[in-house]
Parts: sequence; structure tokens; C-alpha cells
Amino acid sequence: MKDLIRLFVPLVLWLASFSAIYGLQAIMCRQGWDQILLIGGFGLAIALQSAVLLGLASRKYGASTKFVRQSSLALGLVGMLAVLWTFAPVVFLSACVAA
Amino acid sequence: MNALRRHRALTRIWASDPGWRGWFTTVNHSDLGRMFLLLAVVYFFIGGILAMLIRAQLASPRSPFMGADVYNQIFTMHGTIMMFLFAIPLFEGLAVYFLPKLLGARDLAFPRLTAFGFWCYAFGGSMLLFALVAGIAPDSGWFMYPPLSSTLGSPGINPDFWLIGITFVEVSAICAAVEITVSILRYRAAGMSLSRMPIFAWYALITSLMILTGFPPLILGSLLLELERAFGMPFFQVELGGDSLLWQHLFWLFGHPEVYIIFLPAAGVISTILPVMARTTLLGYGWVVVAAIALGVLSFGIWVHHMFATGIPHLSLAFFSAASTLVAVPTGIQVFAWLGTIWKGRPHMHLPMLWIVGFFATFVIGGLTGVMVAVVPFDWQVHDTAFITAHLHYVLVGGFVFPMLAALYYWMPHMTGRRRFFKLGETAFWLVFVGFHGTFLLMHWVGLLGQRRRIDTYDAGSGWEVINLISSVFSFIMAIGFVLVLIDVVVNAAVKSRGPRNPWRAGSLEWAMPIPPPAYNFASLPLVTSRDALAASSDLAVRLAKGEGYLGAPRQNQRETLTVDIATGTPNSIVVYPRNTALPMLMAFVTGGMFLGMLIKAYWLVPLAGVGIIAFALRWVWTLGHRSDLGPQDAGHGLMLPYATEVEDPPGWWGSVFLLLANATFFGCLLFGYAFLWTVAPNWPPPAWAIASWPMLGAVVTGAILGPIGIRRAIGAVRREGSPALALGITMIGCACLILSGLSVLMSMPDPTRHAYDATVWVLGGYVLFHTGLAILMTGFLVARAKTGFMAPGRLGEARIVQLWIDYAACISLVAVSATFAPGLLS
Repeated sequence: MKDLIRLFVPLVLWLASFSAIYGLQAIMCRQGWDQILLIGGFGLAIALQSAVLLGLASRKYGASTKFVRQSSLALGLVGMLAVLWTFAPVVFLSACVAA
Repeated sequence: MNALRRHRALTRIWASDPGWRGWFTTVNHSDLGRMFLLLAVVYFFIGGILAMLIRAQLASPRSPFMGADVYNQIFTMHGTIMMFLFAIPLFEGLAVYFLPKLLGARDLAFPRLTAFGFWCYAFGGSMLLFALVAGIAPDSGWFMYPPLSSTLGSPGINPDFWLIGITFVEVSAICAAVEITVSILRYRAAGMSLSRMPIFAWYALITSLMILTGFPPLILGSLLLELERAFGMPFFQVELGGDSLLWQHLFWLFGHPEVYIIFLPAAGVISTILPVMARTTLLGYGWVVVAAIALGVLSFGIWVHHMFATGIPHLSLAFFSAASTLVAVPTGIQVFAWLGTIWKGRPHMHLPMLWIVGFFATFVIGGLTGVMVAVVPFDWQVHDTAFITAHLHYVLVGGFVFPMLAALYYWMPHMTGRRRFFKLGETAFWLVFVGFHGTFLLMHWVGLLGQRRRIDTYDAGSGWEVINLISSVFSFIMAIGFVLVLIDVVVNAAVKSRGPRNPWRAGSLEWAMPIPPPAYNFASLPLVTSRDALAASSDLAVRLAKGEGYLGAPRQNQRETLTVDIATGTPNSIVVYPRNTALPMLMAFVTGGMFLGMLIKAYWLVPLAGVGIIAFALRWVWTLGHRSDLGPQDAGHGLMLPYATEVEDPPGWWGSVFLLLANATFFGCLLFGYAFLWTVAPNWPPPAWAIASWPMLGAVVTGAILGPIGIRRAIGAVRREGSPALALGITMIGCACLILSGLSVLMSMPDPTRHAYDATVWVLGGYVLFHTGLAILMTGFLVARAKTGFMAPGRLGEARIVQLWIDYAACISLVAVSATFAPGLLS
């Protein structure tokens, strides 16, 4: 079961961050908070994703079999790329302008 | 014992009941897989006939063929049947039939659950079919947007058939997903580690996990919309604090992953068949697994791309547009892995390969138009036009139907034991392929010219006439092709031309058994040392038939198989399966009574059916387990293993874990819906917030502490060979406190029709009451089991399952009460 968790955790974390930032945007627009919160959320997501990646690469938390180790690290990198690609708009776009 | 005597002994043990009775009492995965596949194909042809009616209507402008009312039912039922009654059940059927054979097991984890799932599908589908025949079918489109589908837009019973019938069918999907997940993780051949799993099993595992997390949002949405329609609880009515966009969120939280739930099994089929057709192994097995996992999870982050035209903020559009383009990357990795596999092998253009080539040509076009509509400005231009209809058919027909036809022709010799004699299949392929592209390639064009989807007619002079006519003509060519496939299959299955055991010279385990397969699959269970076990050991089938694998000696007329460690595939217990029984069908029938009661507003039937379900469920679980310790048993090759009833994490524990995953997703979606309404819906705050009382808060905290502590102490007492009675009593008191808190939540908002907040509080309270009631029932069951000698230090699996449910009830009670009263406290 731990090996399965290693395989799924990087992208599930991305999904959690994605949902959290989307939700934060809704609350932020409702309450009139500053957009810096979203950029902070972006930074936090990168930090968490990095922590997972380091954990998967470590001897303590990483997988012992080659297949799961390599696959989980690849998924860790995919998770990081997903965070960078999908959250980057918080830096460039205004948050609450409706289409 | 020689191979023939072993075969006769095992057949006697595993055979279904003879005659018509066998249809209703079978719990064998091969029988049920065939039944799933057959019924799904029947629905495919029904859905196909509806498609032909649509094309007949659109072939000419101002067509008098049918009126708008009928047309609305036809296109709604076409989409509904193809998505819910054909595609998902076909995957379930394929997985139910083949997974144990691919994994080297004798059956799935919970045979009775497979049967229950099938009958739920059959009964739920019949409800919708009845509605179609009676002319009262759903007519709001297959995604049922309110207010069109609410009582404001559809006061009749039509949408109720959809909401209730589809939810009933989804019970089947959840059952199958639990079944498939546990089977893949635990019911494999000895030595089959994660890295040696057949690639189809990886895809099926990811798909099942997606069903467990993707279907609950739709079940929730259907429940909320039905509550609004039946009792006036205003979840989607703007003037009372609801929001119709909530439905769109819940629907597409399901709907987009659904596309990948349909595509991934097909990708698994291609990854299985393509290397065999190319006489090589799959290129980049590890990368394909990584890509499939990435695709599965990323697909949950793109649901809003179906809502680009709803006026959401620019930034949200950017999030979902970026995520939508991202999914093209893992899809591309898989496509390149398949192309590389063809490149490194020596491909033979057999009929399955022909369908795979058809898949490539079609699916890649669908994928590319998918990237186009992921780009917001383009999506705005083509939103709700025939371009989208064309895109989704390229993805779903190209990405699912074509690979499934490849699977049909690849595995037909396995299912029938016969070789193909007549060669109608090649002609059928070209008719379907040319017909499909002639129909839908043109539909992109007419969509770009502005033809909206779902229109029942159009005016002459719009510039769409010729395109629609050609499209309709080709659609009938495609239909002839599909009929020819059916004739080809029936004729070839009927002709007695025996085929060789492994006609494709494949390396996977399903070919290491006699064909057509016996009810027990393998006479003895294999030890796997490589990914392509049969390729590594060409005499494997003979050795297994001779009983040289595990569990080769039939014991006490029991149906036995092995479970293994998830990661390494090391055998760790022996499972004894239940015998043939009508219990699953009867339970599905009674469950159907509950849904029927809701549908026809005969609410007295609902609790009555509920009591019936409880009675059957108790009967179901009571037959499991032993009253004494049986100890380790000989599994063959000197391996001594305990029965699964004597381990700490029996299959039922794993089943509960994954069922709770689906359950928690449902609860999470409910909280999401609540937060969405609170932050986005216009008419908030409500007239009044619920106010917490100290006794109520005390009850929930006490219950959430006593319940989990009580069950743990009960397990500890049994482990020390003491009596669990006192501890189970404490558990009961804890659950009773949680019931009180659930009731208090309900009573805090006496009128659920006043505002969406009040209605949400009622659903939260009802959810708590349902789960705490379930926890009390389970605890009562444990009391009875303890009294009758089923619980012992070595037999604690059942208690650990109950512990999971009590912990869950405690957690959701705390969260539900907090969510209910937090706004009142904060304001």
C-alpha cells in the first residue's frame, strides 16, 4: 500500500493545491482580499511539491524497489511541472475580473 | 490426481447451477462478465438506433420526421445510454471477465458483489428503458442542467427517471470499482509484484480508483436535484440561495474524469494487444504506467473547461485552460510508446490490429480538437455547437469503441474456443471507419458554420443542408458496419471450428488455460517470475493443468484462491469463496424497490425496502467466517498459509477502505457544494444561521470519543481472550450520542425549503444519521458474532472492518456539526 501511496501522492497533492487555490480565489474575490495571497499559495504549493519530491528521493521515505522508485520520482517531477504550469497565471493575471 | 480428474473435480466445485436457475444464482466472474458484456452490447445497439433516428431527423431542413418533444428524449437517451449503460458497463464486463485470468487468480475478490452490481445495472437500466418505451424518458440532455431539468423546466417525471435510474446504475459501478481495485491489489498470482503486473491491470486499477472518486460528485448532484424536485429543497434555485452552476460543477467533477474513465481501459487494451500484434513487448512499460497515473489524476483538475462560457473570472479560465492542455502530455507519451512498440516489432495486420490503426487515426484527431477547445477563445467560438459533438465522438468512438472492437476480435477465440472462419470483420471495419469519418469529420465543419448541438431542426438556406445530408448518409453506412460486426461474431461463434489454445502467441496468463475457459480458470495457480509469464515458460499451461502450481489439490469442495502482498506478490492467505446463491439478485431487487419508491413517490416503499436490504445484508455477512481457528493450510510447494478469515486485514477490510474512499469523496463534494454556495451564490447569507447548543456539542464530542475508543477496547479485549461486551456497549453509547447530534443538526433548521443553507444542513444531518445508524447496526452485528463464537484473538478481521466505519462516522459527525454551526458562530 505504501508503494501505491508513493505513486499517487505527488499528483494528488497537485490536485489538492489546485482545488485549494481555486477555492482561495473564490473567497478572496468575495471578501476583497489582496491577490498576494494567491501568489503565497503558489509558493506554498511549490514548497510542498518539493518536499514530496525530496521525500520520494530519500532513503527513508522513498521506495525500495527500482520500478516504484523511478516511477514515483517521475510522477514527482510531473507534479512539480503541473504546479508551475497551472498556477503560473496567478502571477500574471488579475484574479477577480469576470469573463 | 491426473489433469482430467482434477478438471472434473474442480468443475464440480466451481460450476454454476444448471439450467435457467444458473443465470440468477451464478457468482462466477466469467458468467457475470459475459452477462455484463452482453447487456452492454444490447444497450449499444439501442443507443445506436437512437443515433440513427437523430441523423434521420437532421438529414433535411424542417424535417417532419419527429417533433421536438420526442427528439429531446431521443438525444438525451442516446447520450445517457452510451455513457452510462454501454461504456462503463462494458469496461466493467471486460474487467470482470478478464482480470482474474490476466492476474492468475480463480475469481475476483467479492463474487457476490459482482453479481449484485450486475443486477443493479440490469434493473436500473430497465427503468430507463421503460421510460423510453413509454415516452416519458428524460429530455433535458445527458448532462441535465437545471433549471431545464428542475421542476421549473421539466415538471413531469422524465428527469426523475434519469436522476434515480442513473444513480441506481452507479451503485453497480461503485461495486465493480471496489471489486476490481481489491482484486488487482490482492488477488494476483504468486510472485506478481507491481512491476510484473499486466499493463491492463494498471489501467483497470487507475480506472477503478477514478470511478471511486469520480462518480460520487454525480451521485451527490443527482441526490440534491431529486431532493429539490421532490421536496422543494432549493439547491439550484437562485432566489432561495441556490445556484444552477453548482450542478455544473458537480456534474463535470464527474463528467470530465468520466471521459478518461472510458479512455483508460481502452488504452489498457491497446497496450495489451498492440505488442502481441507487433510480436514484441510494450516499449516503456514504466513510462506508460507513469503516464496513465498522471492522466488519471490530472483529469480531475479540468472539469471547469466545460464551463468556460459561464462567465467565471479570467484567472479561473487560465487555471483550467492550462490544466486542460497539460493532459495532452501523458496522452502523447502513451501514443508515442505505442508507435515505438510498432517500430521495434514486426507488426502483422490481423483484424485487431486493423481496429487499432483505426483508433490511432481517429483518436489523435479527437485529441487535437480537444487541445483546441482547451484554449478559451476558441472554445467560446464553438461552445455548444456541432463541433463539440464531433470532437466528443472522435474521442469516445475512436478512443473507446474502436479499441473495444480490437479487444473483441483479439479475445473472441479465448471466449469461444473457436477460430474465425468467415471474414466479414474486415468489411465491417472499413464500413465503420469510413462511415464514422464521413459522419463526424463533416460535423466539425457544420459546427464551425454555427450549427448548435441538440437542435431538432433548422431552416433551409442556412448552408448546413448538404453537410447534414452527407453526414446522415455516412452514419447509416457506419450503422451497417456495426450490424456486420454483430453478424460476424454470431456466425463465427456458432461455427464449430476449434482454434488453438494461444492463437496469437501472447505471453499473458489468460492464454495459460483451456479455451473456452473452465469455471475455475486455472487448475493450479501459477508462480510468476516475469512480466510475460507465458512467454517465459511456454509449457506453463500444461504444468498448471497437471496441478504443479499452488492450490492444485481440491480441498473439502471449497472454491479457493490465493491473496498476495500488494507490493511484492508474496502469497499471504487462502480465500474461500461463497457458493452459488440468489442473494445478490434478491438484494438488488429490493434495492430497486427503494429507488422505485422514490421514483413513483411511493415513499412508504423506501423504508420497507431499507429493512429488506438490512435483512439481506445481515444474511450476506453472517455466512462468512468460522467459529473455530483452522490454522495454516497447505497451499502447495510446502507453503503453509492461513485462511483470509484469520488475518488482520481480510479482503473485506480492503473493500471497506476503498468504499470509504468513495464515501469520503461524496462527503467532500457536499462540503465543496456548501462552500461554493456560501461564497459564490448571490442570495446569501440565509435568513438565519443555525445556532449551536452546548448539550448538542457535548453529544457530538462525547460520541466521537466513545465510539472509536469503545471499538478499540473491544478488539483489545478479544485479543486478550476477554469479553468485548462492555467495550461494545460503550461503542453503542458513543454511536447513540452521534445520532443525537445528527438529530440536533436537523432540528436546528426546521424548514429545509426556506433557503439553500437550510437544505444543505438537512443533507449534512441526514448523512450523519445514516452513517451513525450504520455504525450501530455493525456494532450490534459484532455483539451477535462475539456471542456465537465468531470472534477470537486470531479472527479479528470483522471487528477491524467495523472499526473503520465507526471511525468514519465519528469524523464526519465532527466535521458536519462544525460546518453547520461555524457560519453562525463566526457571524
